[in-house]
Amino acid sequence: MASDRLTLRGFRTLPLLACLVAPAASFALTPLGDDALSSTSAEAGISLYITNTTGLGTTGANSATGYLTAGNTNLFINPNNGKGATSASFVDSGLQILPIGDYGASTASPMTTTISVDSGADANGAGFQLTSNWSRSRFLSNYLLLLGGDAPAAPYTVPAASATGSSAYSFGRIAVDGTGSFKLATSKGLLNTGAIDPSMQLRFTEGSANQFGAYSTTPGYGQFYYQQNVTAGSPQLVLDNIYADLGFNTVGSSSITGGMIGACTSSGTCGVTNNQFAAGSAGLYFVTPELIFNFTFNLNMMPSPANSLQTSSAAYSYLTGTPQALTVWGWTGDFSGLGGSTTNNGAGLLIGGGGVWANSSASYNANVPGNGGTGPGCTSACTALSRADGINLAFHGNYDPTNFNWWIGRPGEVLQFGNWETIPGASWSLNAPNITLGVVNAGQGPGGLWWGGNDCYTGTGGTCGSYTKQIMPTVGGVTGSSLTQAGQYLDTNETGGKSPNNTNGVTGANTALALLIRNLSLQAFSTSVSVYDDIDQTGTFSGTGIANTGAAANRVVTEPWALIYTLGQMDANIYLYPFGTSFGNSNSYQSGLTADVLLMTQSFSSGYTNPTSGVVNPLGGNSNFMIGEQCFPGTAGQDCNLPGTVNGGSTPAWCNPSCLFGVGLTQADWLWAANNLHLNLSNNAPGYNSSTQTYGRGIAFSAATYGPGIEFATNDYRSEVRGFFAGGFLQSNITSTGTVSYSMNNPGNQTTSANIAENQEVAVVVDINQESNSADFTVSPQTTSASSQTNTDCYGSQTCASGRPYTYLGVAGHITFTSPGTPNNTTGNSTDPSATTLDIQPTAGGCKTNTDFSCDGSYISLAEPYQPTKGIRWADVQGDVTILGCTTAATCNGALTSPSPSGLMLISAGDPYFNDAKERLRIAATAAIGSMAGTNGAPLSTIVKLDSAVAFPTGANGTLSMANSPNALGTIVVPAAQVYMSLTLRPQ
Amino acid sequence: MRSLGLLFLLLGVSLSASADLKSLDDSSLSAVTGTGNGVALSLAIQLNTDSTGAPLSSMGGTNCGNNNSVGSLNGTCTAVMALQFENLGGSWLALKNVFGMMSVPTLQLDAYINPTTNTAFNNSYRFAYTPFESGAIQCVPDISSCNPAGMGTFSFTFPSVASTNYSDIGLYLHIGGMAVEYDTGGAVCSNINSTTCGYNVANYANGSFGGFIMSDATQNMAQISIQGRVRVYGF
Repeated sequence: MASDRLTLRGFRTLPLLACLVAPAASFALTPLGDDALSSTSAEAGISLYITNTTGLGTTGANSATGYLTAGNTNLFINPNNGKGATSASFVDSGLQILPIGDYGASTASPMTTTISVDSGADANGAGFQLTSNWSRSRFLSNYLLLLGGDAPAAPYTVPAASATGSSAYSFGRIAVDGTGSFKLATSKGLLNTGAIDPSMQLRFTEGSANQFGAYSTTPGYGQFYYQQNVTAGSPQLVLDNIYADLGFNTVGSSSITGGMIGACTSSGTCGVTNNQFAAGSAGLYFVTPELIFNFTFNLNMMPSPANSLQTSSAAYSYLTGTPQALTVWGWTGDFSGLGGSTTNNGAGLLIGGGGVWANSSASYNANVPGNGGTGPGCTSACTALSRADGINLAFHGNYDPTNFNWWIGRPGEVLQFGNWETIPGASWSLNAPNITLGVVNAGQGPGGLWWGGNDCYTGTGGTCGSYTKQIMPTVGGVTGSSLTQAGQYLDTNETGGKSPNNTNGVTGANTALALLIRNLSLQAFSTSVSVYDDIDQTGTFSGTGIANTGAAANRVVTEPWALIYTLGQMDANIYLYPFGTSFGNSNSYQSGLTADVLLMTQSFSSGYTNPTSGVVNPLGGNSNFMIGEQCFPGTAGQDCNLPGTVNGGSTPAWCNPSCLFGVGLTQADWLWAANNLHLNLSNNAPGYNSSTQTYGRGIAFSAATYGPGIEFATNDYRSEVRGFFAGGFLQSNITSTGTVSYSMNNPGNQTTSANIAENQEVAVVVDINQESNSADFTVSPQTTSASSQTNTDCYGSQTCASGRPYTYLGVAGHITFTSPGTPNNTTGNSTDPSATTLDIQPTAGGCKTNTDFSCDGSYISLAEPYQPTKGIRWADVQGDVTILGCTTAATCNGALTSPSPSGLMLISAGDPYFNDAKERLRIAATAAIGSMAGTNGAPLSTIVKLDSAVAFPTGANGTLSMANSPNALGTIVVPAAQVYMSLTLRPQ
Repeated sequence: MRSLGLLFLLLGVSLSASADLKSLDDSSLSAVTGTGNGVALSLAIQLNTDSTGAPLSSMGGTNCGNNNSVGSLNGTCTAVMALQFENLGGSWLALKNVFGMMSVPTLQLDAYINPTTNTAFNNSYRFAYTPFESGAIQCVPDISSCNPAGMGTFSFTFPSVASTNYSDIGLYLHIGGMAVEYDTGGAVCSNINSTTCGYNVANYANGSFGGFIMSDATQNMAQISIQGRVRVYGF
């Protein structure tokens, strides 16, 4: 091979050659591929073969709060660097790399690492290849700490265990078990922008297809563990059977000039760059015409594992932990841009230096570094904002419609969403120009976010552009020069400042790990769904997983249903606070982490102009949440779905699919915000001791309400969703004569006539707002109990001894809808006593009567789309609602009978309960209301208002409001009730 | 199958083995069953009942009664819904002993494109309306010229046939009594969270002036058959 002509001669004299035990793979300047690499061997080069039986790194005994201990191996990120008050750092303390056996068992075998370097040349010139692979090992982080807070430590020093005020509390403990490999090929220097056909691939995997989505008591290989409490028996969250693959590749036969990886852009930005690309910082820029991205796993939970991860080598920890399935998840495929309507093919990834930037409410969130003077509302001043130490990431890419898939399901039934299509006119399927990670102390931060914007229903021009039906969400509001045009300023800080805040009573907990997102946009959607079912073609449970490739292949059914969850502009401020590892109790109620979350996705675009049709698509650039299915050019009086219309298996032409028709919420805004949100891995219930009422929950619940799972609890919560409930074509190719040429296998085929939602039909304007001072939600792994299963609890006609009990995602929770103030006909309340910085703010003197719109609190509004001043609102919703979960065999079993437990179920086509060979998705919930919701539960009530729902933001409040003297009809009160609801979807 | 092959390739399974995979494709299913590729929905709601329709014991159960007798309206029955009308603070219309069920076993959802040529049954006035303010007749904004030809539509179909069964919708609603009740404190008060006001309407001081039951002749769910289908467009 050409590579024989060049060798790294100088390396041959190095002492490291003593470690060389095997020749390396040869070098070839070609795109990386397993098949190609596996065919090369026994060529010149250097290989290092390293073995280790004792592991690397050390950890000592740590205090309950996880203070750093002398002698630990520590990894500092964003270290204290002498910046005084800004000093803060993230520390991975007690870092270890250990040999590990199957499923976490101890092993006498060493861990091995091979590193090979080879140089060579081909027609494109000289280059080299670096490869490395390692055997099964455990990467263990014993304590994930933040340093800073009230007593910043000197650079790189370890605070004493007795130090007060230091926020050296731990997020918990993580471990990663598995094998991996790394391959890099480039030429003319590692970071040379003139490289030809460079490529890189990083893999962490032992996951197997047979274990992906399989119902099995034996886990797969390759695990990620997270444990909040270090004591044995505390719950662990586990990603099992991990397959992770990140590849930067060139495609096609023609050579491509690249930077560090992949092809340069036309502007020459690649390799190490100071180009502002999107994130506004210098860094490593990887750009490639084909980015391979695969990440699949089974998400399980071990409510009561036998061991702590720290003692992993002493026991068979994973198998003895009785893992329970939460869900199955995965992404597979490429970002390549092939087949899309955009010219921006491929993908780019920038890893930049620089973390959180300082800002204030007055300068607004659009003024973030990274807009580069071209982003919305940003001027050249944006790039001048200085960042603290930290990391920022930027990414953009296009889903490859031919192979990109999203997988989600449960063991035995997995949904695959495929045939992704990018909305015509979009620059990228996914564009994330600014994702920033950094550690901040109290008083530091980028300021809050603005929710809502201008009224563009009646206004045109300016920020509204030419799209005059933009009732909401609003165009350009948050980027306007005048903040009075914008909506409501929100901040997770309860005192109105801009700093991370924590009021949970943990001394020094104000230091936070900040995750900031700005201007993220997702403009692609799936147009088909396949159901992978662990049954054979006769409907009999196979028990071999969804990937059964034997003679009796498992059932796969594909439906041309679309799932749309596009994101217009997503912004987020998320602050994570470590909460220690073992104070509290073994349920880890007060360990792990809390968070302040402000997350919103808004629709500020006036739509994209379809480059083919020239028609404006209002969905473009906006947030939309819809479902769709194929439609037919139905002939009057005939229906393809009715028996008798398909004769002798011959399908009339008019029964061929001609379009995708979608319905749902379009041009939507979505807000999710919470202060003091506690994320708790719980092994029993309830997540909080009711006697402490730590987070303001005034309701005492029965423990039977909750099961083990992941609990989210907060004492200050608001969410709002609003948009058009509308329908329209997602894809169509309809001629005037009804000729059909649409094909779901030809995504991006919007070449004639109507295009995506250009004929949008609006039904109603929807606005739902929730405000609460006590919200608690738990998702739980649920499995029917083996001890009391009946045959209907298992698949097929088998008994439970040989069949498979049902597993599903259980849900339970509680919410107290907050009263925004008691209307008083005589005096009124000048302020809303329950309002926080996240809530709608009352106007001065508000809350006097039922017609005071600013005190509507939690509400549901429906307005006419073309007469938005007309509508109905259920306002001032107050009271308690509890979603009852299932915790006992008696309630979990019989999951298919009515009422089924609260949760999400995927039901096999082989289930004898239904006997119709249809897969099903069932969503069910039992809600207890008022006094049924728990001790001291308040009745659920609402005030009904009519006739003046104004679908505009109104300046100071920035939200849809009842501004025009609404007519209140009256009040509805439900002192107590219990409601069960279930919705089941299946193919016809 | 292509995506499945990709996944298997990624996860280390040979593609040659996956050649045996055979899925039930849509066309095959349609040919056999005569159904399309739309969605079938099932909906179930139970208000204050168990799965058999019996009132929950936790809310008074049989004390609430399954009939309209006055004697069932006692203080142990908490299945109450109270309505207070604006400007009538202090008094409530109390619906007592409220429970019921609804079941929709199968509702088929499909999408269509209306024919581009109108049938003889087309009537443009169906798609016109009179705005409350102006009084002038207008077409529904999303239906140009009051003509829905060629528009995309959603179709809802109930599959049952009345001659053989009535199973499209099942309904049972029981309101044991209705009464006008007053805030416990006796004063006009709109503070529904007060211990002496609003929701505390279960004192049953004023008995009942009526009840309501929707059921079949045997006190089971009323069964309804809706034949034909509905196309929704123009919204």
